[in-house]
Amino acid sequence: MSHPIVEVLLNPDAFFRKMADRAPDLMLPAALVLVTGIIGGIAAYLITNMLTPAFPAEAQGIMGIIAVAGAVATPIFSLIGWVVVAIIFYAISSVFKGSGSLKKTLEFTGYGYVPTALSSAISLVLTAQFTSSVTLPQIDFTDPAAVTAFQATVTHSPMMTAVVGITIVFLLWSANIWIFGMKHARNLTLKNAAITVGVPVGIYIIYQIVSLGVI
Amino acid sequence: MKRCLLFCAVFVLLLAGVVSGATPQENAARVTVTGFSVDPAVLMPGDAATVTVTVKNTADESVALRSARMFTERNIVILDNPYQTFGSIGPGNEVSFTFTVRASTGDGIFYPPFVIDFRDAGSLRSPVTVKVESTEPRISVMERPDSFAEGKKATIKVKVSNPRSGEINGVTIVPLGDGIVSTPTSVFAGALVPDGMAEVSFEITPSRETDLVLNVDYRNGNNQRSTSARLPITFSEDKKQAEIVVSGIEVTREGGVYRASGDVTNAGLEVAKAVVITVGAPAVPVEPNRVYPVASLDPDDLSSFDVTFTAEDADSVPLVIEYKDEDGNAYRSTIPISIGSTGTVAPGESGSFPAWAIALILLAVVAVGGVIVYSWKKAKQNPE
Repeated sequence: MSHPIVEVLLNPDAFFRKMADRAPDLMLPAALVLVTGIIGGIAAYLITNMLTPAFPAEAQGIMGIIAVAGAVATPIFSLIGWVVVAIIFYAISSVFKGSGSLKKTLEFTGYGYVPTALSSAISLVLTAQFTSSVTLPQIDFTDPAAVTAFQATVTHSPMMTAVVGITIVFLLWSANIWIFGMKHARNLTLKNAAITVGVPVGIYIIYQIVSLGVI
Repeated sequence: MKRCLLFCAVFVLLLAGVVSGATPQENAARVTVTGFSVDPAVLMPGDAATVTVTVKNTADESVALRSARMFTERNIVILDNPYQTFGSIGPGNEVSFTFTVRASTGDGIFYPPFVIDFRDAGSLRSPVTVKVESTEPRISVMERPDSFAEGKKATIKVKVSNPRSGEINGVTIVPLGDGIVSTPTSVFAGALVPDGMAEVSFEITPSRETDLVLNVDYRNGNNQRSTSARLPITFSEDKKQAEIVVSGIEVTREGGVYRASGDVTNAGLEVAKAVVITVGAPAVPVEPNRVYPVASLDPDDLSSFDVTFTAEDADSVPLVIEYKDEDGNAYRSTIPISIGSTGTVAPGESGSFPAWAIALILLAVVAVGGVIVYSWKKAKQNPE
C-alpha cells in the first residue's frame, strides 16, 4: 500500500473513497496548507526585500517591516484561503444537491494543496534565484512611465512568468484532486464534481493568464 | 578872362567826353566769369546737379545783357535755361546764374558752355567743367565668423569706403535677408569725404541658409542712391564650437533597468554650458538618474555621467547630449549606445523568454498531465 500523500497525488479517487467513510480530521490538511503558506511567506519576504531599493530612502525602513509582516501573514492568509476555497466548492456543489458536510469538504480540499505545496517549493527556488540576481534602482513613483516600466520589469520577467506558469500547471493538478475530493465529500457525480471545481479554478487561471499580459 | 573861362569849359567838356566815351563793346569786354560751382561736385550717370556761374562787371558802366544760357554738351544735358532774358549788370556787381543739368551715361569730364549775349555787344562764352564718375562706394566685410549656424548669433564687421572724388552724404548701412535678424537693424554713418571710410558692426542671427544683403543707402547731392553687397550665409560646423565627446561608456542592467555611465569631454574650443545627458526613445529614462546634469564644460574639461533607463526590444538606444553656447543657442547630439550585450545581465533577465523556462513549464505540463491521465485511468479501474 502506497503512502497516503502519494496516493492523493496519483490515485485521488481511491484515496478519497477510503477517507469518505472516516470522521473528518483537519490536522493533516491544515498542515499541508500551512506548509504551502510558509513557503509562500518566504517567497513574499524575498520579493519584498528585492523591491526595497526601488522605493525612496525614507520608505525603505518600513519595507523591512512589511517584508516580515508579509512572511507572517502569508501562511495565515493561506489558511483563510483554504477555508474560502472549501466554502466556494461547498456552495457550488450545493447547486448539484451535494450532501456531505462542510468539514468533510474542508478536509478534502486541504488534501488538494499537496501539488500546490510542490509548486510553491519550485516557485520559491525560482524566486530566490530571481531576487538574488536583481538589484533595482530607485524608482520615481510619481512618474507613470517609470512605474509601468518597473512593473513590467518585475511581473513580465521570464523568471516570474515561469513561476506563474508552474503555479497554473500545478493548480490543474490540485483541481484534479479536488474533483475526486468533491465527488466523495459531497456525493456528486464525476461530472458535477468537475463543474464544481472547474468553474472557480478556471476563472482563477484565466485571471492569472490575463495578469501576465498573454491575453 | 573870357578866353580863360572858355578854355576851362572846353577842358571840362573834353574830360566828360573822355569818361563817357567807352563803347558798349569795351564795357562788355570787362564783364568776366569769375567762377563756377557744381553741386554735387562729381556726378554719377543719371544724377542731376546745379551749376552756378558767377559773372562780374568790372566796367564803370552798367552792361546790358540779352540772355545768359548754358548749352548741352555731349553727356551733360541742360534741364532748364531760366535766363532767356536779363537786365543789366551794374558796374562792379556780381551776378550768379544757376542752371540744372543732368549727366546721362558715361564717365568723364565735360565742358558745357556758358554763354552771355550782350544787348549792345557780342557775347561771352565760357565753358564750365562738370565731372561724371560712376564709381560707387565700396563695401567690405572686415570680419565674419568662420561658419554660421542656425540660430547662432554672429558678429559681422563691415567697412564702407568712398573711392569717389566727391563727397557722399547720408550713408546708411542696412543688413537685409530672408530669415536674418540683425542688431542693430541699421547704422547711420553720415557723410563720407573722398577716400573716407566708416566701419560698423552687426550681430546677425540667421534662421536659415540665405544671402545676407548689406545695403548702403547714400545721397550724392540730391540724388538718392544705393549699392549693396551679398554675403552668402551657409550653415556649416563651427570649427571653434564646443564638441562633446563621450568615452568609456559602460552599460549595466539591474533588474530591467539599465545604467549607462561614462565620461564626457569638451573637445571643442568654446565653453559648453548647461550640459545635460539623458536617453531618447525607445529608451524611457527612470529614476534615480533620468537626466544627468554635467553643468559647464570648459574646453578640454572632462566629467563623468550616469543615466538610468528602461528599454524594451532594443539593442541600442540613443544617448542624448544637450548643451548651450554662451549666447544661449542650444545644441543637441545623439550617440547610439549598445545595450544588447551588457555584461551584468541577470540570469533569466534577457528580453526573450529563456529556453530553460519553457522546458521547465513543458516538463511540468507533461508530468502533471501524465499524473492526471493516470489518476483518471485508476479511477475507472477502481470499484464503485
